[in-house]
Amino acid sequence: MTTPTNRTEAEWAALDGELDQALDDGLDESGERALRARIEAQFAERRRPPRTAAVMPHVYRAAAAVLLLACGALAGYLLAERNLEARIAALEEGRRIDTAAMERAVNEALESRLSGQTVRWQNPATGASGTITPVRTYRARNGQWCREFTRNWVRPGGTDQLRGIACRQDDGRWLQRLTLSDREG
Amino acid sequence: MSIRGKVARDVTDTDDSAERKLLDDMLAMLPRLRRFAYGLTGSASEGDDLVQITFEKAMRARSQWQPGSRLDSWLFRIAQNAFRNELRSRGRHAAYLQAVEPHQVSAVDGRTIVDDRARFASLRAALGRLPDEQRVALLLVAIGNHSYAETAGILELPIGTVMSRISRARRALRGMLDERPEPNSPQDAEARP
Repeated sequence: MTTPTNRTEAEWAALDGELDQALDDGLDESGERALRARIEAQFAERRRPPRTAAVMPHVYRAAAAVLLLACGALAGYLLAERNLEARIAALEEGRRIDTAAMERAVNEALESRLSGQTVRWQNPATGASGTITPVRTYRARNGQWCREFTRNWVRPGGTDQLRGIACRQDDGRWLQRLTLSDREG
Repeated sequence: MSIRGKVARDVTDTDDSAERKLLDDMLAMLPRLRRFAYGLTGSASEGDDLVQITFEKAMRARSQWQPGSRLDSWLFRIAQNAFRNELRSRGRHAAYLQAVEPHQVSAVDGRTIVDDRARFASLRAALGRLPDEQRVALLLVAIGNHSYAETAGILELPIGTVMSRISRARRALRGMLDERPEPNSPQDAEARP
């Protein structure tokens, strides 16, 4: 009686494996190296500055000294904590602005540029920039106009190159429908 | 050297090497976390940003991790929380953009896309059409190698809820893959260059 259940579980396990492969297929190693470098840089930056060791003349005050040290460490920790919060917020805010600029550029390129013509954007605040180039145009089965495009997203950590297909909605917005490739380098 | 100086130095050394060790252990899980984050966000660059934020949050909260428990589960938990908060704060999906059926866009320049990579792309697109809560649960199992019980723990949900989400997700994926038309079928011919 257990066979059908087992077979189903095995089928699902195969599907899970295929999903893992499919995600792996969309990523590449140079992107992983770039991410590793970003994380290492972030780790190096977050290290606390060395604590200064003041000289205490009397050994019997060691306990009080340790207490003082703990207070100092706590203050330093809280300060570092605040900085980290701010850095995460800045990272997220920068990315939000980049994404908005990129989306505007995608819409402009797909709406009003011929295939082969490139639209550029940049955000001096984050150092990010990008290009969008429509590659070709065709019509989907449901009658929508669709365009294949390439999108380069250059960031301090590396470049993200995406090739995808977007289709025009009735309201004039272009929505990405398919990712043909997405690699980082 | 005074006792205070010595204590300070020892504490710092131990902290630094323990921190380094933890980071190395975390970096060993980077490829899997990347696939997980990519699956969640639908974009390699958004996914990598999510992984970077996950590492930042993990290092900051490293005292909360209990040595001996699964480090990867802890990271996946942080990643999925960050993803949820991010989604909530932005109020929209990142890259998934509620796609239509991928086979509606069936031919490019007269060439039909047929190979594993197209199948993988379809699978990724199908994944993107799952509701968030199903996708997260499925990815925790399929990419995170967690049991249903562990997944329920990470998501703080009853195990029955998790199992039914995963089961619905897998059925939906299977269904979306199965309804892909045969390559080169006549109905694809209408796409124009």
